[in-house]
This record gives sequence, structure tokens and C-alpha cells, in this order.
Amino acid sequence: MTNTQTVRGSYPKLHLLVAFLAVAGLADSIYLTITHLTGENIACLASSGCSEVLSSRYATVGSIPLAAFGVVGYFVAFSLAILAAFGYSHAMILLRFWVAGMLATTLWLLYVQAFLLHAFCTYCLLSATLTVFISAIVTVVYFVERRHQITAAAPPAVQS
Amino acid sequence: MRRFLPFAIIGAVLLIAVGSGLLLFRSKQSSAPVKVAAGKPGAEPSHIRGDASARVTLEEFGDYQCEPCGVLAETLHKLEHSYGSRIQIVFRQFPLEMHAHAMTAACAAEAAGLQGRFWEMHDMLFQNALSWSHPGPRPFRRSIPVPQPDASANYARVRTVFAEYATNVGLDVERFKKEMDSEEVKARIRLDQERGDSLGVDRTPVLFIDAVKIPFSSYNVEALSKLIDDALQGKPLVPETPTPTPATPR
Repeated sequence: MTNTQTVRGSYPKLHLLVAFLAVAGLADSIYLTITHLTGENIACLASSGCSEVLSSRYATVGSIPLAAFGVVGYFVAFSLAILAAFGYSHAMILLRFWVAGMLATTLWLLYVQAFLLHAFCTYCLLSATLTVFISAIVTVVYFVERRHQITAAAPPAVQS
Repeated sequence: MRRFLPFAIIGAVLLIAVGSGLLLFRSKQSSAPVKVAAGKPGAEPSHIRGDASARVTLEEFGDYQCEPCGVLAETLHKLEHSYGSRIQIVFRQFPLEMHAHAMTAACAAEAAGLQGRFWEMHDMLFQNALSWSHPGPRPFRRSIPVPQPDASANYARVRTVFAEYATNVGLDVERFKKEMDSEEVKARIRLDQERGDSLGVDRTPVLFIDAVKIPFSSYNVEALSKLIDDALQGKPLVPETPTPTPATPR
């Protein structure tokens, strides 16, 4: 590992927590993708309020289920979080942008469920919650990192 | 060693994700029909389309507010035209709680049935499902949400629409309105639901051909035609599992 790749504070515990949450999101997205691929989402399930959301036109991009993008999104977030936890500074920066994109998508999907479909899917809400937590942790890391940089850059106090 | 550790973790999670995805896909892909027990009887007399003495029976559990049920209704219409008196189609009520007006629609169909116009109302409900099942327009791009009428206003609106349908299919509308709330109608729906529960129906639509549960992936004219042909020829719809040969005593 070179010096350009690493930073002093990589916050491994927080990044591992992000990785853990991303794995949970990955499992959720895989489940939704498989449900779509097996055609189960098209039927109206008696035990869940998901079918209205998952069978809607917003649930696919072309012929690709939106949940498949979630699989990619969470896997990339997981990979970047693991790399960041091991001190890869570029991964930490990429993770911020990636998670910002995921949060924006999540907010759009919440809007679709609340105002366009008037229906909520439990699995989609779980995914939204995970993304919000991941975003919160990444934001905290960003501000803590920034404060450290400012402190490190400040000249030492001169004693009289 | 530590340098490769993050990549090893990422690779391991990728493998686990792909593996579990494949396992889940295989377990959910129930492509084979399943033979079910006889179950509870359901409402009698049942609503039968076609010849009641036909050799093959298609029994559907449906919900009028469920869009896939509407699609299946069209498919069954085509099959009815193709097979004529060789098949009979039975419709069972299975309104889901998640659909706000499904129960009201089921009551409307059953009330029409009491005047001998079940199938006319049934078709009308499915054909116009989009217009009565949603409370208002659902714009694609709009920053201000459309104000939605409250539940009681919606209920009254849907009942008014169903009364119009009753007029269109030639029912005595006052009798229809009264019978929609009758115990007889509710009991019929309850009996159909109990039959569905006893057969393991957990979604809509669910279709049985001669007491064999057909997987959702086969709900199209081609696949159903093949299954009906097999049933007409007396072939088993459920793949026969090889019976284990008894162990030979040494």
C-alpha cells in the first residue's frame, strides 16, 4: 500500500459498519431482484403490500428490474467501504459520491411510492432506511475527517 | 498479506451473493404444477362458465382489483372460445385486504349473481378495473400531489359506479344495492375464501386445473392450452415421481 493510497484516519470501524449495512442492503436487493425474475412480483401477494410497487412501471428501467441496480449499488458501496476501512483514501472519496447518488435515488423512489403510487413496499422501505444510515455515517466521517485536516493544518500555538 | 485482505473479503461477499441469489432463484422457480388436496367446498352453486359436465375444470381464485387477474380473465376467455364445451371455468372470490375496493367489487359480482348475471358483471368489473379501482389520476411528473378523496367518499363513489354497471347489465338496481350488503353475498365470499385458504392460495390470481395448482409462469394461452390438452387426453399434469424400489433383502 503506498502513501498516496492511504490516509492517517481511515475510520475502519465506521467504514466496516457501512460495509455491514451495505451487505444487508445487498441481501434485500437480491431478494427483490429474484422475486422479479421469477414473476412473483406480478401476482398480488396476500401477505404483503409490495406487489403494487414492484409491479408498477417505476419498478423497471427498460426490462431491467430496479432492484438489480440496487444489487450493483450496494455491492459497490460495500467494496468501497471495505477498501476505505483498509486505508484506501481514493475509495473513501468515491464512497462519498457513490452514497450521495444512492441517497438521491432513494429519495426519488420514496417520492414515487408516497405521491405517485400511494403504496409502500416493506422491502423498499428497508432499503431506504439502510441507505439513509449509510449516508449518515459517510457524512459523519466526512466532517470528522475535515476537522482533523483543519486541526493538522493549523500552526502550533506559540507559547509566550 | 494484509494488502490482499480487502480484495479477498470483497471477492468472498461477491461469491456468497451470487451463490445465494442462484439458490433463491432455483427455490422460487416453481415451474412444476402441484397436486392439491380436495379442500373445503366453497360457495355453492359455484359460478361456472362453459359446460358444467365438461371433462376439464379450470378453477380460478381472483380479485377484481388485481391487474394480473384481469389479464388472466382475458386468457381464460380465449381458452373458452378455443375449447368450448370441453372445459368449464369456475371463478372463486378471493378479495385481498391490500386492495381497497376488492371486497366491494366481489359483493357487486355476487349480488349480480343472485339475479343470474354474475358473468356479465364479472366481465364488466375486469374490463373497467382501471377506471373504478384508482381514486384519481396518477400523474407521472407533478410536484404537487393530487388531493385524494377520503375513504368513505371513495367507497360511495365505487358503489355508484357499480350501480351504473348493474343498470348496464340489466339488473334490478335497487335489489342489487340491497343484496350487495346481504349476508348471503358475504357468506358466499367467505366460503370461497375458506376454500382458497384450504388449498393454500396466498395470492391472486391462482389457477387450478382438475385440482392441480398451476404455476404463475404458465398463465398464458400456449402453456394453458398444452395443460388442457394433456388433461383432455387423460395425461397426468403433475410429473410423476419415480416410486422408490423396495430394498431387496439379502
